Amino acid sequence: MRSGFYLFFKKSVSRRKGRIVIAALSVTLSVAMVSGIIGMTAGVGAKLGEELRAYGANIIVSPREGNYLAQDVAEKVSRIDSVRGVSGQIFGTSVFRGQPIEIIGLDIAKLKDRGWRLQGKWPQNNGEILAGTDLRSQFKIDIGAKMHLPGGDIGGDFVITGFIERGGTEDSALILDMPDAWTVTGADRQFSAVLVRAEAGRLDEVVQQIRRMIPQAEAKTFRQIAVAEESLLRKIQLLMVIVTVVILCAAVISVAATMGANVLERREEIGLMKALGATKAQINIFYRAEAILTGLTGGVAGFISGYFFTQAVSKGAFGSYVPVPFYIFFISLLFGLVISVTASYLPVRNALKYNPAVILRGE
Amino acid sequence: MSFIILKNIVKEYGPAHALRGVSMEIQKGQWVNIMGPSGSGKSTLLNIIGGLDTPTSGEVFVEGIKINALSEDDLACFRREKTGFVFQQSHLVPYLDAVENVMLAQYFHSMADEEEAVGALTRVGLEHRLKHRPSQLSGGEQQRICIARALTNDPVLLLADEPTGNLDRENTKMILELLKKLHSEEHFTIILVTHDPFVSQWGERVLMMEDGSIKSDAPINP
Amino acid sequence: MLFNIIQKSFLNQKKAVALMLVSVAAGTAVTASLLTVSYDISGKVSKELRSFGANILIEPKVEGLAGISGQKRFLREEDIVRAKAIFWRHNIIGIAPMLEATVEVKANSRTATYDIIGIWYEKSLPLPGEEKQFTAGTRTVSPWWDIKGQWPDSHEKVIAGASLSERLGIKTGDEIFMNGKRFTVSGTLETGGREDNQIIMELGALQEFMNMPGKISKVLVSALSKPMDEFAYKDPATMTQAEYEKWYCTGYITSIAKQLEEVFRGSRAKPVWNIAETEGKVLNRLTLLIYFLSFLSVLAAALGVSTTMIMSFLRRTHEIGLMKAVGADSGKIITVFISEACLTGLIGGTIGYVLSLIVSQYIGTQVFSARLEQREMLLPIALGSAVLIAVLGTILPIKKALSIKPAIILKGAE
Repeated sequence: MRSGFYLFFKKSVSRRKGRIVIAALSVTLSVAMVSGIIGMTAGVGAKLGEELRAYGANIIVSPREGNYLAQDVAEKVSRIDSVRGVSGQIFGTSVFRGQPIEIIGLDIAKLKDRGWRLQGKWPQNNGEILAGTDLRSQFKIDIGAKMHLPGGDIGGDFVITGFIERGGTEDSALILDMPDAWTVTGADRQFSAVLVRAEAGRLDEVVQQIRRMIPQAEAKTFRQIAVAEESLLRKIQLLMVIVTVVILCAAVISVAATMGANVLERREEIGLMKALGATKAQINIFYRAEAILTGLTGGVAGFISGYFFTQAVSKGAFGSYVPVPFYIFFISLLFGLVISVTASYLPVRNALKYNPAVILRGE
Repeated sequence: MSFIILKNIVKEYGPAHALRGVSMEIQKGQWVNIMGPSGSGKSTLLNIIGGLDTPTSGEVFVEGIKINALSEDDLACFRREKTGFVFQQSHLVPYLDAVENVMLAQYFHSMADEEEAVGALTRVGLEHRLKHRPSQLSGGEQQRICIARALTNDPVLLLADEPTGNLDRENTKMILELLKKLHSEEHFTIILVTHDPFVSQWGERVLMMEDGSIKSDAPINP
Repeated sequence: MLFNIIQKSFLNQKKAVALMLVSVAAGTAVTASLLTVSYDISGKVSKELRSFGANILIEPKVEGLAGISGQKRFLREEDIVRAKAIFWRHNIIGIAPMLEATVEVKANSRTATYDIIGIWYEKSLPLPGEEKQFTAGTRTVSPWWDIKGQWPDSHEKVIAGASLSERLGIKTGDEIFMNGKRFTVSGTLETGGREDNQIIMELGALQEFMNMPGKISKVLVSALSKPMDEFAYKDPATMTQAEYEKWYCTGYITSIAKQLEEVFRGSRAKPVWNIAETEGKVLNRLTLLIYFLSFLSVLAAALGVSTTMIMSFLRRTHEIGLMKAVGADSGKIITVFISEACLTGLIGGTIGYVLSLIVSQYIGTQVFSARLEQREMLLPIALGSAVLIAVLGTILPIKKALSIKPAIILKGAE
């Protein structure tokens, strides 16, 4: 013989499919919005950090004494957690047509998409260099101009492949790729400074770590970038949190209203059960079971739709997908259960309080 | 000691009085009809006797149990062990079929037993309608399911509130005949509320109510 | 008659009506607040992004070798106020002039040559023909400047960069000698940038000290701009007349720079590219993020309201059966229910709109420390969509109820 509870529960679900589907749909939507936006909040920091990289370094490591840092400083720094990029640079001067001229040596391959405007071509081979845009008018030179730069032991001969504009001091300097710059400055395998791009929010940590690891170097946060990006990230995160809370409230209200309307419809049924001599616990378990079923279904479906929600937003706004942490699945499930059970708890409790005689007499 | 004893029952709904001090006794196995115009308090009286409603003051004893002093769960227990209800609107669960509706009452009582439920429906002549849902049945048939449901747990007290109020004369007669047959075979107590003089002719005793008090109390001479 | 029915229906089903109203209000509140936020997000975020520093640099124009052979060229201080007279003047939110020089610094018996800069820290500029004054100075361009101590209140006081102070062993209150003249250090500055190795003083004081009246070396400008697009990257020199006009009158960073160049005599103005380009990208991304979030949330809110409406009206199939039984035709029944839905949408929508004012202003003040701009257009949009969603939510249950024979509904079928 079948257990009575299971029989009635099964009938109630299978013969009221439409309502169960609507209730589950409502839970699904709420869970989707909430889990989607939590997933988004978790990913948006990283995505935005990626974009903010283009602003440039936020930590500068310079020699404490003397003019240069050993080449391995850059390597050591790049191994620190939360360091996203490292660029060793060398600054020097040379002479061109009898005038002193500033030299900046760096890894030119890293300049692309980092806010440098180029006219001409990126250097491909040794001996090809870039010139700051101001030099063009100063020296009346053009792309393809050859220059001899004395320096180090031998100096070198170079060809300008392009002019670069950044809106800073770089605009009046020559930009050389690293080995060439070492030749001209004579500071072989050393850097004047190492520019570090670290994850916003962990700058102090990284600075402390660099100071500990490399005592001969001085690490400082570059406040122009660091302050602004931390404040921006904080604000965006705050915005996401507030939006999450607002959506959460609306989601809970929407589910509560839907489930409430559902229970309201069944007040007569609850009154009847009471008249038949059912205890509160016996009645509660029917509605609790249905709420759990709705909550679980809605939680799973909500997680899946929320996943697509997150990916749609991420793809739309940042052009790439965002990893959704797996714990969000459990949050979704739990949230679905909690809202569904709470949303049905109050109206059922209310209906139970009513005198069955009043409910059954009808309008 | 009488089966049911009411002592000075008063029921107030806000400022309105539904019952103004009703006292009476009913013997075990008696069929009592309560009559009166609407608003006279007859349904309220029935609900109080059946433990569906509680009096504002006064005492109710059923089989020696003082039910107005019971906790809510004990009252639920009283309802399922001792009483069976039949309402004017049949109040069946719409998504359950006839057998399942009877089984629901069994389930709340102890455990659902399909065989017993089928038996109960057979007793009321519905053996050919077991798997029909309420929407597929006539009013008379729905009321018969209610009677089967009310009797399935062997109650000592059957309470019916206008059970024939929505039925035509033919169906009314059929229901009353059924009640009479079951009453004479199984000797449970029946309290039936009606405003239909035809219905009140059945049974053994008629209480006339007016404005929350008993106006007259007379046996029916068959 | 219709009004009577609806009034009765609302009064008799307070709970059901309350549930619908609450749901519609919540949905509208989310929708309207997110729309308000999306509408203003671009403006608010661009202001926010301006804290990354100047995006236009104005320098003296250099032609030929003269520029580097020691004959330094300068801009004129008097031209600064003209920056607020260009077409895009309202987009200029910060101007910071700077005079650069080198001095010999002597402190604690150590002597070295250092760069010295003269700036305005915070200065109110009277604008010709306008009542409001414009606040200029480094604070308006470089908000990350964190001065420990006091900004000089006299010409004999200076700020010392952090690295320089460390190297010379000086602190706030100490005296230093520059080119033999005595100055007091009124504070120190640490930015992580080149200011850490400089002496900073008031522009006027440095002009007087160096005998360079009215001269400035460069001007940093912070301007709100439209993100660069493909058109903006075209070389203005190759544009047709019409294109050039369009470019000139669009708030690209390049066209603003061009206009500034025109008002600063003998100048060359160029965008600070890493700042300007990244700003455009980040702005586009964040704006899109909010748009997408809003769109999807609005969609979900609409569906959420629909489920409540469907659930609420499903329970009234009985009522529909009754209406049909007493002879109402489908048209009348639909009128009653749709009117109810409209009323629910209107009332719930209004409550939701009011709530959204609170929510969006909370977001504005909490996140951006500024009020978000409210659009009057939003009220009809919010109410219209609330009514629409409420009505859509009733169509399914009404259609279902109408298709059933009244007798069956009245018997308790569903």
